Amino acid sequence: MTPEQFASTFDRICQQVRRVIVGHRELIDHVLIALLAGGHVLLEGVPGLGKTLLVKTLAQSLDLGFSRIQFTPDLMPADIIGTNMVMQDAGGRRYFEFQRGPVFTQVLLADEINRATPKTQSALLEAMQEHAVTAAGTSYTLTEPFFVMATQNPIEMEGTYPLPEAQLDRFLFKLRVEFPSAQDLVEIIDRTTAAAVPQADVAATSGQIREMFQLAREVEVASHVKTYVARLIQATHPDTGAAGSMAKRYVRYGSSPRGVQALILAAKVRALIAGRANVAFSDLKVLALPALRHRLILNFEGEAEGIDPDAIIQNALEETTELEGAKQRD
Amino acid sequence: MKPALDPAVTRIVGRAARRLRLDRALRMAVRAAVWMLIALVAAAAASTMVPVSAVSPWIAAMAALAAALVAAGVVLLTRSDLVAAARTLDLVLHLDERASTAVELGLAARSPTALGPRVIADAAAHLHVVDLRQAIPLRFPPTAWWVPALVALLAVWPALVGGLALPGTPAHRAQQVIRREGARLEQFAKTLQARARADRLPLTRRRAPQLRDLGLRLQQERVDRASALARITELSRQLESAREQIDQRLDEMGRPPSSPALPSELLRRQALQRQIKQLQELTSRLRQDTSTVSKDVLDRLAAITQEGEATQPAQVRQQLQQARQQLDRGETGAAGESLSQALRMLEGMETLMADREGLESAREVLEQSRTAIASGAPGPGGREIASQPGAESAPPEGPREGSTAGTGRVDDRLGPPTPRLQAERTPQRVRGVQGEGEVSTSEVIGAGRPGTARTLPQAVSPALVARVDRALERAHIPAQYRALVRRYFERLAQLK
Repeated sequence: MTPEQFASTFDRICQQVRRVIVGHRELIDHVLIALLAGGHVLLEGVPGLGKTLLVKTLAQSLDLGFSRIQFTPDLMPADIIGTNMVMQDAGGRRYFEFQRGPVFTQVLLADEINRATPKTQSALLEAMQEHAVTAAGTSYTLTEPFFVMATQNPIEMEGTYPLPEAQLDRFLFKLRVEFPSAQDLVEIIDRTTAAAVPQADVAATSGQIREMFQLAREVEVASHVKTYVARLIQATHPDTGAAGSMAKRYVRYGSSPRGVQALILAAKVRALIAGRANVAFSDLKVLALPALRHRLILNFEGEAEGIDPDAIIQNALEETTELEGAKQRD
Repeated sequence: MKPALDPAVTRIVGRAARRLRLDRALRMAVRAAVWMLIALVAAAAASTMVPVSAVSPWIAAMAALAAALVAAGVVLLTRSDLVAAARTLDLVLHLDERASTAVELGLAARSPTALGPRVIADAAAHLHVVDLRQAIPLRFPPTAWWVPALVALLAVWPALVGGLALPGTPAHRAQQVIRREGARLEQFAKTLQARARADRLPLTRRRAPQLRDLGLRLQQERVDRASALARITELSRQLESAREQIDQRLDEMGRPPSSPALPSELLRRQALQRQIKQLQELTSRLRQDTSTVSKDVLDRLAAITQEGEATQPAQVRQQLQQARQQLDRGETGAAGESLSQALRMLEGMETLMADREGLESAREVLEQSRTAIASGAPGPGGREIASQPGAESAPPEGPREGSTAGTGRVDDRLGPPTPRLQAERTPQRVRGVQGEGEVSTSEVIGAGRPGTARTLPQAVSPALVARVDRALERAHIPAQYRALVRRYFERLAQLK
């Protein structure tokens, strides 16, 4: 696959998704970027904004298997991974057979993930990180590409179990689903209340997705761009010399090294979409918020003052110069 | 395999690197010049507190230029960094890091990914249309206007602030020393001027006003230490030049080289004066009695000839020898003529030596002032300067005396001013035979017309001494001064 084919395929997928989803252009772009970078997405938004529809449409347009799990407090790990069941063959002999759970798919929607208990939430850890699950001592590999899209409601927090940091860190992006504009709402009315509801056609096969995934990894990154990312990540840590002023005050622990990986991988995909074979600072700046916002752990002061991690990352972006130790020309 | 860097990319980035280096050199040059000028302005400002001289605008401009050239040279001598240039090009032209990534790929040792050649081609395509003159314009940085502003400030500094000193600072103390030395020089110059006029010393007479003018300027103008020293050095050089001129003329007259017997010029001159006096006597005797030549005259002539071997020029000795021979032959008139010629030559030589001595004493005083100003301590001899060689040193300061003229304090009213003599100043040189002993020269201010007094000095001396004593007592004159005045009148009384 060539970069041009990559970009055109991406455009096709976007077009198909946009046939169903109204607005949310940036959201769609970011979800696709995360998918092509091999990462998972945590969507945060109030109910009814089209999160589930987005994932379903994406699965349709990519011709990928799709499963949806509605996370509830009584949901058990086996409900996600699957379980060994006693089966009987024609000769009457009984044996155990592993019944695959909904995780055995390619696009998994973990709806309201914070409503399940931490034990159940952690059942997804191995699947997200290793793209494999283990049941009764047997490891089962998931079909590539494997993409988890979890949602959570930021308002209704009663009876929820906030995701542990370890699990949050495994999401490539945390995206915020904003309420649509009036114009988009009108468009939603037109599309969803008419006789014919638009459907997405297949825009790319799973094979193409894998190729795109491989090509993204070939994108070049200049050394000073890598250094910039490293300094940016350090700027989110309060104890480093490069710490941003807000990070020093409000952050208990900054982004993990997974943040660097996530940012670079996503930036590579974005570079290809922009028709480039190299990562630019602009890629990093655009993707820094979704890639890092869920990786910061605020301290008491930050929590008490209701500091938005986005503000801290924005501050780090402003205070981190592109060229280290060199002033830009007058 | 490392992808080959496109020649177009190399060429354009190389040109960009050179332009960036030039641009950086320009900025560094301006920065260095500005800092140099700021340092010089700071030094000029410091001259109001410490005795350092402000730098002239020309030197400041040259220093700034030199700093700028050095800074620019250092930058221009550094090697061009292609990667840095490419990064700057990316930033300036918004190339999304295409150029820097491509250059890194072309120069780096690591193996690139499959998209490496694509990055290089992409960079070449974007750089191909770049106008470097527009992208990296060579222009002076905004701080460049500081350079003319600071040079202008340094140019007007002497007029506005030059010579000002904050009270209580070392600069103020240095300025006080300069003024004091100016007063000293002026006082000395007055004396020297009078002496040169009285003794008819042409070169000294010409230079004395310059010395006086210098003294006045040092007192009246705002002069810093370096400027004062420069002025003193300049005048000292002129005096030296005049002295050399006299030396040349003395050598032309056949002045014998200095001998161990008469090492100093002063002794030589005194010996010369003695010989002149003796010759005048002999000449006078020969004129009075031309008929006979006594043995005493011959002996004295022989003694003069012998004594003058170390001091007389060859021509004078020749004339004296000739006079002796003429006397031996009984040619008294011719001998008198020869002696007169020798006398004129010796008198001319003595005048030149007096002129030289005057210049030399002026130079010495200048040297003392220079030392005093340079060290910041008052000159030798306190506030007064010995007006004549051999004069008594000034007595210590009294309780109501200042260290310079006009700085004393008197509680009592001084009364009406002393009436001035209504007479023209007519300096005259007293002609006559000089006696043995200590020689001193001084300016005597007297009545313009001859007086009609018939009473001898010694007749009024006791009464005068008593009157002067009372007057000095009333005027709170220190005891040392009173003793000096008393001694003067007592000596007058001893005159016969």
